Amino acid sequence: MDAARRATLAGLAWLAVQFAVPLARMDPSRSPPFSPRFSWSMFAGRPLATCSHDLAWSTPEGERLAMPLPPATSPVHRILTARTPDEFRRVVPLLTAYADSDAVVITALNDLLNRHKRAVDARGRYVLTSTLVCRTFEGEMLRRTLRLGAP
Amino acid sequence: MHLSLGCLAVLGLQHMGHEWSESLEVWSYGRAHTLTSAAPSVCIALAGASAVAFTLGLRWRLAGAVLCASMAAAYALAPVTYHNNLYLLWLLVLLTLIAAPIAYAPRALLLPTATFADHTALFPRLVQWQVAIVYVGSVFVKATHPMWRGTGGVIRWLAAVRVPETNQGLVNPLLRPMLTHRGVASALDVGVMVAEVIIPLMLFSRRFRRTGLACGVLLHGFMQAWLYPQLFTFLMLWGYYAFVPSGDRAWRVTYAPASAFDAALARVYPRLDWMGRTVWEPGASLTLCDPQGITREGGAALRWLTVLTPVTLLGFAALSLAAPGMRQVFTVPRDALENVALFAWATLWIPGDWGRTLGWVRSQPSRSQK
Repeated sequence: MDAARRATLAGLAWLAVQFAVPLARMDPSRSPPFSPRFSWSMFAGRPLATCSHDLAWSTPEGERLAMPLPPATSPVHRILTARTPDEFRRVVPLLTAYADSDAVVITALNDLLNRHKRAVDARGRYVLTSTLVCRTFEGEMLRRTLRLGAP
Repeated sequence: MHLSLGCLAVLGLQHMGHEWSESLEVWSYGRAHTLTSAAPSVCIALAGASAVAFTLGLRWRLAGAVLCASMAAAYALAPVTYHNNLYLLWLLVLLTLIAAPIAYAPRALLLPTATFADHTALFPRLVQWQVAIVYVGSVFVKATHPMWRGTGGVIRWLAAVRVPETNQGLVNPLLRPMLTHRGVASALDVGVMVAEVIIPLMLFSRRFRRTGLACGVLLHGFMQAWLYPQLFTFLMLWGYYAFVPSGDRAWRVTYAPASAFDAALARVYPRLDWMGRTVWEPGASLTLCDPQGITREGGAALRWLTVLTPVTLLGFAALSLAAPGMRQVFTVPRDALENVALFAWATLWIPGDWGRTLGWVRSQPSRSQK
């Protein structure tokens, strides 16, 4: 094999390695909050929506109770108590680092709320309701409500 | 180049370990298996330990392989571990494993007689191509992204929203009115894309290489001072060393043994000259003669000496990445201090600015002359 062909093969192999991890991360069957984001341009993500978040913990009959929370030092505590747009924007990187879409953030939040519900209410006796109201960077309104443990 | 890459790997991994710790805690929270939830942190710790062994030259190929494997495992296990900074590090360590010469011992680098492969050997060639791929990939993304493409949208968003939230540097408050201006942001947007096209072209051209290096340092220096991309800045600048010859001993330095400053410099610098590029000999004054025969004196010689060795870059990287939890030094924001240090280094390049101070320092006699 001549040197030029060896160099070409080495170059192609290197290009394959280069894209192996980004391609592997694009697998849609990965559990949330895997983001397929890959870009050599650090700031090519989409500016995320401005959201306010409301969380309610109640009995199946609708009586509101104080939600059990992890210790105040835990970052999960910060996420679950973030209410205003400013507070919520600050905790988004904890939910899903380098997120570049609102959908990824919502998936990550849903995933965390599911895990929190399982962790504090193994018997499934209570209802967790999360309401996220967002205004996207383009000015569109977005509202999503999640009810966990609802009959 | 191993030692400097190893140092950047150690600094980068401890910085990322800190940056990711809370995200990993959130990711692990409430997961059924303790083993699964701890795995990403274990991978990062293993990568960090391997980076130390890689840097120290302790079975460096094995250590590099463990470093790459543990980072790949972290990528596969935890979603929060993905970012260009560490991905570029992973690629460069992998390149080192594949293409770098076998013999490597950091002790040898600290001796003034060490020699290395020149910049046309396979390893530096591959690093050069990796640097070019990053620029081309970056331009491709920007050219297809609706908030780049000359709109200046990302730049305005960074200046108005993102940077004030994420860092306490001095650059954004000073430049924010300008950077949020639609026309300026659009021009900067186009300028960045043009720079990312022409810099690799200039780096590959023998004639324009120095201009390319200067433009690249300006681009990454400004990005670091404004946006703090951290490891990415230092890895790209590290890659620039692959474009210049090493081990050629083509830069001749003379120094005045009677001056304490010169004598100390002549004693210390050869040990920091990890790329084996200078030859030191006693003379009448501090001068630096480059491979083209151009001689620089005093402050001009000193400013070039700062860029001939990657140790300056490592010092800047340490200032930026070491002890990442410390955001304030006394009451001063660390980001602002980093800006001041970078600005002080940049002023070295303004002719005459440091001349008088350096002249006074160099006029102090050495101990043997007192």
